[in-house]
Amino acid sequence: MHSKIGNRIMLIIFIAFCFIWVMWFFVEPYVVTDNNENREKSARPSLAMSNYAEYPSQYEEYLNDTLPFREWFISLNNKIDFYIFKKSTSDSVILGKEDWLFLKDTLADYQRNNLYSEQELAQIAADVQTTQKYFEDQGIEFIIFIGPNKSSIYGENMPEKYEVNSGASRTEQVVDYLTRTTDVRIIYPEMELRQVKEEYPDLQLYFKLDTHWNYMGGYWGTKPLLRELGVELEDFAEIQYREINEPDFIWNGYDLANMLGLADALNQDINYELEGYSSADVTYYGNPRDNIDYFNGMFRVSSNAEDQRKVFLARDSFGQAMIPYLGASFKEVVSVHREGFKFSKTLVENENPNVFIYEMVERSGWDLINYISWPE
Amino acid sequence: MVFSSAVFLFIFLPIVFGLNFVIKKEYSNGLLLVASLIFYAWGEPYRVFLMLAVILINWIVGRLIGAHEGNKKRIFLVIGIVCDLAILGYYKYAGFFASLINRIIGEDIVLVPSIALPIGISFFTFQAISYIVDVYRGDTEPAPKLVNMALYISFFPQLIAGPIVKYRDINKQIEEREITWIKVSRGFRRFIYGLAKKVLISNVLGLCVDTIYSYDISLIDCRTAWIGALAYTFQIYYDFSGYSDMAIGLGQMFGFRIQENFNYPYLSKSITEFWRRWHISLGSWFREYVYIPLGGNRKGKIRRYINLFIVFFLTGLWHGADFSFVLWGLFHGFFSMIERKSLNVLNRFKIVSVVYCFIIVNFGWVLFRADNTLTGIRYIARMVMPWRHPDIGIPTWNYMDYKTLFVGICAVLGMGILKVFVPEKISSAWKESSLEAMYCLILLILSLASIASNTYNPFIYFSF
Repeated sequence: MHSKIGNRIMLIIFIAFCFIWVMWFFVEPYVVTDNNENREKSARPSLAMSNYAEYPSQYEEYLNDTLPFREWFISLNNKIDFYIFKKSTSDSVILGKEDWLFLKDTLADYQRNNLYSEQELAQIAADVQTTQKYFEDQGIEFIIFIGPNKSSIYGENMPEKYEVNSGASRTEQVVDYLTRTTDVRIIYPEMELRQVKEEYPDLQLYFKLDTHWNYMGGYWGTKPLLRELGVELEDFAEIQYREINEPDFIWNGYDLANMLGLADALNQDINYELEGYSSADVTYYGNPRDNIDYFNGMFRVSSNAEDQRKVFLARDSFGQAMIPYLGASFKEVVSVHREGFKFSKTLVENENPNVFIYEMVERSGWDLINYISWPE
Repeated sequence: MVFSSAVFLFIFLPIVFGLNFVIKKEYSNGLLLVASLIFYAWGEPYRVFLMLAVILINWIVGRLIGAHEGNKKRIFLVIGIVCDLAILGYYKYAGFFASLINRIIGEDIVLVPSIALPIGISFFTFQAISYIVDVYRGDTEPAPKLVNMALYISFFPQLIAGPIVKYRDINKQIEEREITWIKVSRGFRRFIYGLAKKVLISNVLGLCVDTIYSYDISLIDCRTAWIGALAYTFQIYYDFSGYSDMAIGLGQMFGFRIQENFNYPYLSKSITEFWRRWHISLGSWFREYVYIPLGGNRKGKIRRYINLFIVFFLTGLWHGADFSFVLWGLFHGFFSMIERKSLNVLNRFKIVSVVYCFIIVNFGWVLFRADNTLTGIRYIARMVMPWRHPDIGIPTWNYMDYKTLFVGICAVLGMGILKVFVPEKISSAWKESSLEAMYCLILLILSLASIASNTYNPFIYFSF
């Protein structure tokens, strides 16, 4: 009798397993399944003579994206790996100390083992100067802004096992080279942000669960840029701020948590809402925070700021946390994703800005700095 | 299609089992045959016709053998074996032999073909050969229907990775079998154990092994070499035995009893015993269709050693068209031969013998896994001569983490340690208990979770 109970239970488990699609049919409407993978899910293929050999792999791709209870299984597996084995469930994410997550792509920058050769530095300088001349010939101010990687500011939370070479980082190397050999205006607020950390240890300038800086990091990072452009925001002592739990992009969530497949479990982080940094009235025409098309494309910000200049911000995702402060400082800011579907030389010429800011995150490299490579 | 894939677990198995459950018994063989052909065609959409050709050839040969006597019978047998070996030889060994000829001659006079190996060809051709030989010997009648023969060759539980089933062991079951709820229950339990072995143990250890073996040999120190060797020893065991468990379990669910293929091989006290516990069906095949026909141990000591040499040579060659596999086979053959004199001693000092055998097998797996023989030998050198290769290597965390360590410990316990030390009373009470059923449910959920997590493929932001 005792052994039969075990066999009966196994049979019930098998029958339930066979009916897993039926169970899913009833459960699915009540399960929230956000697309945290940031890709289009595979479509169901049709079998035809033309795709007879490829059909199995196409079908498996489709099935892999639509398995019953898929997100639940992924969450279970990744929670076990993350919480019990302290293991990153993504090849792209490093588990740091104190629940800090880092993007593995930034590891070479952090370890300082990817320095440029003299030849490469010279090429970067040449490309930068080509672009600088292009803008200055049109009477447009040109300035480069580099948003530091999270590990450049919060490196103390990286795992000890990653050794750091002495000497400059690749970005410090480039900034130093460009400063010495060219007259290009370049802002890399690494030192400023580290000083803020020292001075205000209770402030968290970057997300723990996301690659980006938050609006507090954006405020402090944008200040040196604005100073270079002759604009001062209100002093921090005059600013009111409150903590909120929102990523830079609502449609993306916390990107590193997503990559771990743990968006449901790792969903508490620190961002800020700042007020009082400017007295200008600001109007947004499009909001990339909750609309991906504005993020990938372009949007505008206008204000009644004293500075009448029009700024063209050729950005990546790090530019998002700078927008409130740039938008409040200039008459108009046109924000365009540098690798998006809108960015082109024609657009820049049509907008005819007074200032062109080339904003890039530290890890992205210099491949696109030469305007000749930009879409027409 | 593989057993640990989503398409097999969520689509193929429930549908095939369900259909087999509802249709009339006389159509069951046809259904299972069609299902098996779909199973094979899923991974080999064109080579499925090759397998059908093997089935047809051997069925015809079997009928011809059964219908004739004397020389004609022998001729048909030879034709059948030559056809089977020619197919296997072409797809698996043509490139190897062409390269070998060129190497011997010293120039590339023979074109070296690049032929993709059809999945499972080593298994189904061996099953085909065993069928026609058994018919020739009178051990079994020729299959009464083509569908019976086809199902025997292509039956999906054992098609891709064995066990190598002999027709005489399964023919009665093809003609008449019963599916009971107990068989389904026990079969599914066995399947879950196999799935867990593959997904939760073998795949995890495999990540560690792949990382270590990707390093240049000059970076491998003693510690790393031993970790890589041990990890692979358990990876291959849990992968292969896990697959056999799934095959046996699936067979049971459809009313078939497939013979065991592994019997805690790492508890063996000698290499001789190892080959009675590891891939039992392959050892049995070579013994019955090569060793014994060559004379076995009935023609004197020298002939016995020659026969053993041939068997182990062929065993190594069967595993892969490369000299490293041949060398691995001969490595086992060498120890098998020298043990002949010492089997009594080995049986007397059990723990020492088990350790001895485990170390030899472990070294053998290094030769099996390494990119080439020289690298394998250099690897073993690093294992046994640590003073010559001081700790110059890679930090352990580069290839190993807490999960690998935990799984490694489970792997060691599961290789037979628990079986030896857990009292019989407890293991009997555990077997088929409700507690074991819950344990299996947990294993199933964890396995499905692992399989699902491999489908997760995120990008940092939405690509446009």
